Amino acid sequence: MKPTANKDNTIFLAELKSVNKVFRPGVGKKTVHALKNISLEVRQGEILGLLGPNGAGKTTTIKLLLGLLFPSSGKVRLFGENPADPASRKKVGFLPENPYFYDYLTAREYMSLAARLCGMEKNETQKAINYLLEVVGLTGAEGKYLRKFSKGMLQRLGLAQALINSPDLLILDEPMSGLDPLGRRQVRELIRNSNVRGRSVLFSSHVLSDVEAICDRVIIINHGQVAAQGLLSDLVSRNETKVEITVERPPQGLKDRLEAKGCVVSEAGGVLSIRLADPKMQDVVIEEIHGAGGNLHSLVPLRPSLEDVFMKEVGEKAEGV
Amino acid sequence: MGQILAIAGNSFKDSVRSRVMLGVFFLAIVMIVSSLVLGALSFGEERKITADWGLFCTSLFGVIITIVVGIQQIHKEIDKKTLYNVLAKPVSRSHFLFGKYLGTMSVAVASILIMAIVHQGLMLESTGTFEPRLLIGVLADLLMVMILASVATFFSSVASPFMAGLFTTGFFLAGRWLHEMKYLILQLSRMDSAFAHYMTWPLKGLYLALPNFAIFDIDGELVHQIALPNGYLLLLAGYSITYSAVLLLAAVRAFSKRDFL
Repeated sequence: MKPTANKDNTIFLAELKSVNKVFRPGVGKKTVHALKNISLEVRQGEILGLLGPNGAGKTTTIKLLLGLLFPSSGKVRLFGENPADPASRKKVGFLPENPYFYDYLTAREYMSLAARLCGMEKNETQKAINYLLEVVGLTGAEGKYLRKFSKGMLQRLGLAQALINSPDLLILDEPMSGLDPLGRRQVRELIRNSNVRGRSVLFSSHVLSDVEAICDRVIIINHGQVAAQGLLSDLVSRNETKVEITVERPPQGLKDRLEAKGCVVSEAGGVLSIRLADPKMQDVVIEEIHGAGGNLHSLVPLRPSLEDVFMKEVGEKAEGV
Repeated sequence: MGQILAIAGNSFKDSVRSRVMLGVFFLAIVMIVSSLVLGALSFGEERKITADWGLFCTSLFGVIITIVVGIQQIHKEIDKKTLYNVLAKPVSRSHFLFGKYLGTMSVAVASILIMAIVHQGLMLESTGTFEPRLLIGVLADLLMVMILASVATFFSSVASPFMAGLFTTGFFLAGRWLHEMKYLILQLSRMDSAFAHYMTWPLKGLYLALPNFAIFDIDGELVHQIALPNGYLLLLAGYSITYSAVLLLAAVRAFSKRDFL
């Protein structure tokens, strides 16, 4: 079981190559083309965010990688193997979306079951279980039945069971859903720490701030296709940077003169704000301000956020649908 | 093997911690114990009635428990999505299915054995002695539920619990009345009509394909102390193992190709 590598020796732990997934629900029901010729890979050592609106195909992509679904066409590889082969999942930890666990088990019993399913020896499990329950903050709740767990506790247990086999690749489907701000922060820390220990992480989300906070690379999926992908920094810088200039106590007529040049100008509390979509315009505007005897207060480049990128890739296409 | 046992053990816990299952089991015990009352009312046939009613209840509730547990096991995992956590681990689908089958069997075996122990206790109470010969009937029941559990596993891996329950119960009833079906085929083959001709072939197919549950019903022989043919239990065991293995392999084949949405 070996992960594949490309020409520049980047190791791919998981890959989808030109994958299509079509669901045929049965007679009289509409065929759903969930994934359309999608190609992506998870690289060793990275935190990859799978971003997209609800129904974009994120969970389908993850299920294909885990062998829970079969591709209609194309190739799926997990550690270089077909995910239908159980050996390919030996070094994978998975947390499903809205995880539901056997509620008749206690947390310790569930962790013990997870360890046995991973083929771990009995003598190595108890130590690992104690450690992981402590890491996710469930020490003291190990004897409690899961039916009495809150959603946040279940989510944390889900993370603990995903880590039981010390996986090289963590696949997390919406790991922050249903968590309070403190819980979200803890999960973010956990993902970061896992990555520091050398684990690769693939996680799906539709919460942009979560992705922006921890991902190295982002793949935006929309309508079953890859809408954009790349390093977070590249994706953001690929998009235009705007500039905002403010002028205190603006001289009379400056606003009209700037608007005549095509600038978007607003005035509030004696301060004029000028937003420039094209940064090249800033010299012209500054000259105009000085020429009019105005007092330039600030010039701030507005870096686009992941939300801007996401809205550009997803929002605009959605409007066009 | 460790994974199969882990899945089986988990299924067993699921059933024994379920209030519904405990209710069914409690009802079974009450029904068996009621044989004492029936025996007391029978004027001189106390031993026969206690033996007969106890074997009947053990068999009936063994079947009910096997069907109820068997048809729920897999569907519940799919419906509640607990299956994702299992199959995302290095567990093959065949191991999952075998584990579920063993889980169903462990519940059925435990229930039947407890019912048999209670029954033996009642025999001691009513006749002053144990009747170990009746345990042969219990063994036949265990071999029968072995097939029934594989039928339930097969249907629950390809159909909804309602359909799986319907088909499994249908299989059991048809298999129990296979002698009657044979008689019907014989009568139809003697009739000189196109309808009878066209009905004969599908019925013959069913007769060959359905498991013969009637051969496991040896209560009459045991209660009336009639000797069984030599090697009869070995024959039942061979039949049961072969039929269960074929059905489980068919279930694995169907289950391995399923998409889990």
